[in-house]
Amino acid sequence: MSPTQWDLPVELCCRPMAFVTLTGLDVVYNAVHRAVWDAFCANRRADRVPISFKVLPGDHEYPKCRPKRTSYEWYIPKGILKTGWMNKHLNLVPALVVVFYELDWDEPQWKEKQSECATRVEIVRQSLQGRNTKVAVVLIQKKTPLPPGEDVIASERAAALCNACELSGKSLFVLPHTDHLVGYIIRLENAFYEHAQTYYYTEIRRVKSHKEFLNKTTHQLLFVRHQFKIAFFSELKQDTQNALKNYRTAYNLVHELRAHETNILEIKTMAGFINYKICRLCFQHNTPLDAIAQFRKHIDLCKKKIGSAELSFEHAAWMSKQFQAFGDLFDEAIKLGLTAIQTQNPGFYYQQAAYYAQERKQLAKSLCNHEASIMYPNPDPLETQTGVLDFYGQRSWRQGILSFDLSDPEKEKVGVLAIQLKERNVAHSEIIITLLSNAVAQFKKYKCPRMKSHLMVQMGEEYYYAKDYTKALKLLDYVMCDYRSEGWWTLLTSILTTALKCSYLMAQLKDYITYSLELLGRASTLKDDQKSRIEKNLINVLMNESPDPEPDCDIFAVKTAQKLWADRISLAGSNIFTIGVQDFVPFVQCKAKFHAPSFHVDVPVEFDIYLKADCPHPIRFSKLCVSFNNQEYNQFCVIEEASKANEVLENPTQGKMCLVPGKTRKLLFKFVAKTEDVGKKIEITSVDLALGNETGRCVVLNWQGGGGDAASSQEALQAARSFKRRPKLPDNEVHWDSIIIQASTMIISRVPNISVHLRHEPPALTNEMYCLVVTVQSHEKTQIRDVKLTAGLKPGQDANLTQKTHVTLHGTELCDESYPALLTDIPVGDLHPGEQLEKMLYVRCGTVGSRMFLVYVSYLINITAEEKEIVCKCHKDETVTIETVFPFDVAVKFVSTKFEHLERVYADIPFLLMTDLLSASPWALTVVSSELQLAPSMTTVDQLESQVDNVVLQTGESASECFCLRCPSLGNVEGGVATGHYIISWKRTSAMENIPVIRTVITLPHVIVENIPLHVNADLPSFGRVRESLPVKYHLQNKTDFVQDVEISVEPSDAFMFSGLKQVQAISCGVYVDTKLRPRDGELYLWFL
Amino acid sequence: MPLIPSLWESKANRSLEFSCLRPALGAGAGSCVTSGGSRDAARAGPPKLAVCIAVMAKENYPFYIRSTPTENELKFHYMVHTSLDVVDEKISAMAKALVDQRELYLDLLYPTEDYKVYGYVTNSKVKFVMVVDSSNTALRDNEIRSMFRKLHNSYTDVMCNPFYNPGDCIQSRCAQ
Repeated sequence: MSPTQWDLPVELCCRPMAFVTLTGLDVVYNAVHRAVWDAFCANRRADRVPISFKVLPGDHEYPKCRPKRTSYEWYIPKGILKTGWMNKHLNLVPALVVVFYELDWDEPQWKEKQSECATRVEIVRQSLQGRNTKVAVVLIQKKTPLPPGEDVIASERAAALCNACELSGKSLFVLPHTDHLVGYIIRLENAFYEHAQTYYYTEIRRVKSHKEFLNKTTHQLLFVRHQFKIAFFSELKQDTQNALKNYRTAYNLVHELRAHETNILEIKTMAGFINYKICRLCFQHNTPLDAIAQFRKHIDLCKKKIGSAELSFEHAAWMSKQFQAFGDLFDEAIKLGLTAIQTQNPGFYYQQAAYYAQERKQLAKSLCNHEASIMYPNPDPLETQTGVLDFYGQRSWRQGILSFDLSDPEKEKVGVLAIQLKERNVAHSEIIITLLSNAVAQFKKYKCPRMKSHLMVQMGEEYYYAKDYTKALKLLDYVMCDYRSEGWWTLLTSILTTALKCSYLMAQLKDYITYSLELLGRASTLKDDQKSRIEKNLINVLMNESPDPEPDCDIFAVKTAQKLWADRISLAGSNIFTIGVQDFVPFVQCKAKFHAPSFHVDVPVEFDIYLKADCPHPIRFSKLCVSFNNQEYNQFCVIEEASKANEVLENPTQGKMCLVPGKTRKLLFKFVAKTEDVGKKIEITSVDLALGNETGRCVVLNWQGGGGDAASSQEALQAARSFKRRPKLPDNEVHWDSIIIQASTMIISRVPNISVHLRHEPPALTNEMYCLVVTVQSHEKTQIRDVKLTAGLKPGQDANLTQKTHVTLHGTELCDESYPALLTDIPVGDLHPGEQLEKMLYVRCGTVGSRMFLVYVSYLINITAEEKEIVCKCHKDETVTIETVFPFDVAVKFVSTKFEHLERVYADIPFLLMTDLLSASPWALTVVSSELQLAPSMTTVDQLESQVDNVVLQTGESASECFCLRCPSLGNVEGGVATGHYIISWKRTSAMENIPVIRTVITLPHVIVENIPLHVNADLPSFGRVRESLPVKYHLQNKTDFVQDVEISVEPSDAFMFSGLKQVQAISCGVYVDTKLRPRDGELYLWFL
Repeated sequence: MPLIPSLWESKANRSLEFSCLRPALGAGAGSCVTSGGSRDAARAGPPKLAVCIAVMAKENYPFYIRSTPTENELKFHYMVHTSLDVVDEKISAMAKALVDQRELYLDLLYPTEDYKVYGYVTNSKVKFVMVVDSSNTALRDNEIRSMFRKLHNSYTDVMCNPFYNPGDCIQSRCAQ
């Protein structure tokens, strides 16, 4: 029995092709023949006809044909199918023998050549005695033949040759050896193919003809055999539809055979062969569902046909092969374009094949556990004379025996023993692993990650059984995280248990420790006694001793492992293992929590480390250290408990670092933050917990950040969702779930203990030097140093405000554009406790509106925190919003000398300019002086002295001035004539002496100047007395360059009584006085009323 | 929820009840919540049983998993776990369908040589998986469907129990 006993024979798995032999070709020494042969074999692509060619010598002996049976009456078949049959028809018995012969039509020695050719044909015929194999002759000619019918000699000689060789005309071919060789060859092989098909057709007919002689009782096997042969010949004929039909019939016939323990293997073997053929053809016909259905039917029918119980592993092996073969067929079909789906892909078949291979292993293990003293039988009952079996699926020691009774039980026993002993040497694990990895590759393709993981676990376990622990660990380690992340703890525990065994057997310290840690943890579903055992082993390992072997390990492997462990002990060094826990679930949980999200720099930073052990017994750790992003703090957060190695489990409840299972342990840490870290984040980057000590072995569990392992995020989520009420615990204890990791905190500056006051009188007035008094008082208990003041416009406001706001410390001079909007870091000096200082700031706002001003005071102070002197920088800021308003409104109007409102003024006629200053400030204003700057076009009538010097205006009060002006005639000016500027110098009444005066310039409006022809000036006394005459003088003036006629009429008023002159009467009577006014002349009229 | 009163009646001891291995029968000491009076059918014999039943959370970790041949529990755990591949695929295909046209029953997930694995998913993506012996011809599609519906009802009952903490594994007295 070779290891490939269960493999399907090659001749079954190949695609049957018509077999044609070529004779008369000397492919070694004759270049022309070589070229012909090459043309036949090279480039046999799918478009060429399916023929398998073989070159044979002309006198080749073909397999002898057994004499034809005339009656089947006394014939009893010895088996279903002979092992050589398929090969015989594929490679030995040709459908057509072609005789190549070099002969041209114009051959001078035609006669001789013709007879030589006939002899060759005859020799071939002789060796094919009794077979229906066709014979054909190909003449290799040097000349290109003429078109048919034109070459008279050719047709004559061809007929003669056919006659001589007893060939039909259809079997004679001419192969001109010219340029178009491949073309001729293709035409030739198409003709050969037709002949071959005819041959196989007759063969089918021949087999069918036997049928009528068969009877159902003695010839059952022959029914199957003949049906199989018909199907196989149909395949050779490339009639796959009929082949499939016949195979199906054959399959049904196989299962009709009477099955018994003695022939069950033969039946299964044949059923397997036929099933393979059917499935293969179904896939070929692109009906994969038919293939699957057939395979299912096949498995269902054969599953229970186990046969001999002593050899039941054979059944498992056969089943495994069935699935594997189908998987291969399926996969091949996919490669040729079939699409598979997630739930129906070759992977399932490989998986099942692997399953049966595992079963085979199990069965073999229980059936083949013979003692070593039992020798392999001699002579070998599995040997046959020919080295091969006559029929497929028979036992070598009783070939051809059809009886169901065992004629020779002793022989049978020896045979079974031989098979069992052979089975013992089979590398089962190798077979299983190959099948599993085939399945893995398939499931990977069809989106089945979990199936893939599952198979990889199986592979790992199989490697474990095969004692390849390194590969086992590699696979198991790879898939563990999938189960861990999905929270399938039972599965994870099972994988970890195997992994622990592997690491034990290899004495892999780090792996051993890692798996132990997780198996002790909360993700493990092991029972407590198991956990106790593992914990004890772990402690042993840490104390530099060997652990106890894992249960259910191979005894020999354990012995090797114990040696390895002993060697490990003697090795010094490299005894510290750092294990990152973020990828697994160890038996200690850790959470770090800062007490507050931020700490002032002058108070110590406090945080707790919470630890909880899930192992069955209390356990003592040796060291805990916390690392921060600023490593300088690391030194302050270390707890070390010196203990001897053997004390790990002793005095369990004593000491800070001893964890009692299920109890949460809180460890408080404190340190003072560095002043440089003000404004920065302090983060816990890792927590390291050491188990064991340096003298033995030491494991450092490393949590990244503030704790948490592979399972804790899910747990935290669940705890957050949960509305379970937690039972009340004593004050010093907390619920693990309620602890929320807080791995970072901010360091913020110390709270200042000074007061900053701002004194000012809002609102600010435009352009004024607005005074802001800053009072800083220290309430600190010690002296504060380096007090600095930053004041001005708060940054981040409208950019225009920065242009129009200026700040200075010196109020005595007006500030201009060059002054900044914000004064920074003005040193103020030191302040003793309780001391107060005042600083004046002057702000000049060029525009109205509100502005935010910032006053920021910073200082340094020495502080003692946790017996450590630190220099703290504190600061306090104040902001104030100040509104800026106009100090006053100025109104200007033009009036005549009679105080009548003027829309326009008249050239050369004096008029009055009246200014009106209305205070809008809530505070009293002092108008220091005012000044009128006239435009050149204006002249003054009298002097322009200010009339409002040092006038104090309260809110709402106004100060007016009046100036008499005249505008000379300028002709017609568009838009009026500029008047000039009105300048007011003012300050707050409350402002100090040295505060500069502000000059506010107001541009006076333009005025329209108009020329008039006649000007009447009335000169009236300011008062009259009753019964006294009142002289009234009118002065008329002609302003034009021409003489004007003027008519004057005086209408008396009832308020006056007349007296005196005639003219008065005349005037009072309404007399018109006609006069002539000369240009630029004035005339005076006097009346007395 | 009208389910709550009935829940309390049957839960005098306030333990969580979750019947699933025998959804169609009340064999479990009469404590099955969902059996709905088909107690006589229980005497019909074992073929009506599912071999393994599992309830999985949205995140795919098991809430509840139990198989009748307890000796090979691990095999069923793996089987249920691998079936989630198909469940995931079916859910993602389903996501394209309209919400109200969704079918909770996922049909046969995949057949193995000896078992059939069926799936069901609730609207909140809680998954139910049921493993049935391949030779068990008594369980046709309709039976499986109704078993799932009963299972779903039981699950709803558990969720309605104020003493149940969401996310915890489900304990069942009758199945133990």
